[in-house]
Amino acid sequence: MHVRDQGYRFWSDLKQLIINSDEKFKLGFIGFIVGVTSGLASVGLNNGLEYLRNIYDSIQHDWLIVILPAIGLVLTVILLKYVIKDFEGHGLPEVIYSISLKGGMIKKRSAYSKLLGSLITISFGGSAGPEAPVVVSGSAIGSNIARFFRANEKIRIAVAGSGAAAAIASIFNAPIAGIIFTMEVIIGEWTPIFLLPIAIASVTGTEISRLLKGNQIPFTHELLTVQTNDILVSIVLALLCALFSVLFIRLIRNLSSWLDRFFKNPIIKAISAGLVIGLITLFVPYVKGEGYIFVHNIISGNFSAGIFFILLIILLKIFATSATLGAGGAGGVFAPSLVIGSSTGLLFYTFMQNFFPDFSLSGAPLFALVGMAGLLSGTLQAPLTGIFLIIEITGGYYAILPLLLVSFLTSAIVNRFEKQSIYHYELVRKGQLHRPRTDGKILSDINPRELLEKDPIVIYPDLLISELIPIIKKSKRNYFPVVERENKTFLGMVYFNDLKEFIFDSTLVNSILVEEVMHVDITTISLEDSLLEIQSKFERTNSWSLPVLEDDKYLGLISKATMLDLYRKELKVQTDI
Amino acid sequence: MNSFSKDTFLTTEEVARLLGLPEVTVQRWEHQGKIPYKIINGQVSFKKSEIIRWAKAHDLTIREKHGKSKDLISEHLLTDAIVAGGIYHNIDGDDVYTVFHNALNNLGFIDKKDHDRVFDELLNREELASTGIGNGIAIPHTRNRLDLNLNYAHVAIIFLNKPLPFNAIDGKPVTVLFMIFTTSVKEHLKMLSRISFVLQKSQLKEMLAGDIEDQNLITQIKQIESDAR
Repeated sequence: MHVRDQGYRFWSDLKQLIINSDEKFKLGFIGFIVGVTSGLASVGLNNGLEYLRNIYDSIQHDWLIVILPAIGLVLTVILLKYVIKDFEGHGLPEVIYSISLKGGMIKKRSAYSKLLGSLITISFGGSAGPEAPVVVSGSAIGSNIARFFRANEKIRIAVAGSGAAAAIASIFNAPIAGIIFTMEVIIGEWTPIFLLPIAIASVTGTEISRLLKGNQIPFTHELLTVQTNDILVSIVLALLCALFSVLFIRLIRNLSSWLDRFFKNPIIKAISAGLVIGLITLFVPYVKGEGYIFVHNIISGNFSAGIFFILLIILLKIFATSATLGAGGAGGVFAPSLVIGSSTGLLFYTFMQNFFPDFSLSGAPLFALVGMAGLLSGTLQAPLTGIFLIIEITGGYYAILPLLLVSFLTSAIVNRFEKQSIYHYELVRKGQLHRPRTDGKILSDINPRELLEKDPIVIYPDLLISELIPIIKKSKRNYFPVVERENKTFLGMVYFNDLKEFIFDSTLVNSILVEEVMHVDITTISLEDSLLEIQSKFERTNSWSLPVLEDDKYLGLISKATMLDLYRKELKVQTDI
Repeated sequence: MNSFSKDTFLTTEEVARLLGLPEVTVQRWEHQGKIPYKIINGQVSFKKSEIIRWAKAHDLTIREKHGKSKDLISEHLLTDAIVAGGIYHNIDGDDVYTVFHNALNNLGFIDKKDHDRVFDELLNREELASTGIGNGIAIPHTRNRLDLNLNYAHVAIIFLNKPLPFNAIDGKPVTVLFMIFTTSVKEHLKMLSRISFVLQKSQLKEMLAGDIEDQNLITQIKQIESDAR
């Protein structure tokens, strides 16, 4: 008993020490822990996928291949919706949302829910990537470790981002891509203080995966030389990448709502979508799962096919991924983007070979690599992530020119049609995406309650104007909310300005009631209104002060001046990051 | 001028009004290159469609109608209302009920079917507080604003046959009613301040007490109302 007490004392002392330690040390230390845990999560999921893939590959019966995706989807839906109860969304947007609006708070069960879900979905043949679940899990682990050490909002955000970085870094053995993915997609801001824990986590995550799985480059290939011709035609490849990116983004977004319209029951939806995916897999097996092996084959030059078959693979992969995720499967679009991207590169190369055989080009693997970067730039709106991932995968800068060209061209063209990436679209639509220090972020941080002014004197409709005069003398303001005497229901506003022309008429003021001089067509604010809405109400009504109601009851006033005051203070506090 | 372009061009002043901002702010934005503008004949010009697109992209509100027209309230609000409402003499009655009833029967601008509602609302208001404002004058009006199909304010001046006890502030019985029907709170507020102003003039108090031609009374009130501005 005594020994256990001492042991407990040691741990709680250590925790206290870290809680009270220097901020930079704390960031680094938590970043390290997050790197280890996220790295383990990623290796665990990948080992699980590999193990189950071997079982899947030994399947002899066609009918099993057809029904397995449906079983996987149903199991995933049951597990996430009814057992763990963490079903909504495909993961990454929630991480971005929590960093954007909730100060990096992520619920504990997210640390394993999507991980388990994606293991089932993918290994049963559904088409989805394991990256997003690992990122969600890494971020959730990071966020909860930060909470354990009572870290503030800034550290929580940095550490949740660290989890994401470590996840990508350890999956692809690509530490820089991990850092850049986090900055570009998850946090969306390049701040030095965020970089420290993110870099530490990225390095740790990579090292964990190297220790456990060896320092292997996931997509091996032969070294290639890049010629001027390759760079020139890359411009056309960018167009192709943009086309498939837009198609992918739109189908992902729309297929899920179409499915919802046809199938009210989530289980029936999962079965129907799963059977279609199963049938596709039977004839075109390249679309199943996360597709790492298929990508590997393309890049190493071990896969070739006719133009139409490659085009078919691309379209079916886009469809199968949209169907898997739309029907409730767990997983992300990162790996599918790599499959579509490398196939796009192969498609382009095969096309050039067939129609312009004299035009000398480097080889299919180069275009497959560049196509992958193109698709990542297009679907995730993350050109830098695409570039650095490919650089780290290929282990060299030789492909940098076509990479830069295709990535930024694709990203620019896609941006013309789709303003937001797959991850951000939903959040932007719901108004839930706010980058730090932006107007929207500051306005969304402030709650209407913080602005509530209770000092205005409330008056009643049955008062005579003569009875109002002493109240006006006492008041610091020149407007008065009118409420019902008994139940405080808001009725209207009286403005001194309206009264000043007859308030000195000592006879008239004894005959006029408050109720007949109050304005009733007043725009009111509810506590649920966001500051953005309140701001627009001020602009619309051109007023300086509006009443706040809750269930028709008067609570107080909000005025523009207080809003500006708090806005500036909030801005100063946020600039601290 | 280019005849193809249907675009209107705006001056700095017009842009400022469109966006509800001070002109100097628009000028600063123009210097800092924040707002799109063109130089036409050496003058800074703003393409209207471009400004509207730009404002929308930056979430700025646009005032579609420049200087939003406030509810137009006539210069001679009270005079116009009296002309519309009319002046009535020798209205009979020993109590408020009878007087109101008889008065309403004379008011042509109120539909017969609305009489009961108006009557109830007038009494309702008197029960809350007497509208007798002293010096033999009362300003009855309905408690709630009824929809009487009036487009603007009506005031009926009603001379009573005999003084009526009205529970007025100075205890004096009432001999003249200014029965007010307004269409909005704004109009009502304006009407109250006009009546207050007009009735404080001693020449009018005398005229109301004595015998006077309707046309003279209206001319007199119009004169005082003009002075008020």
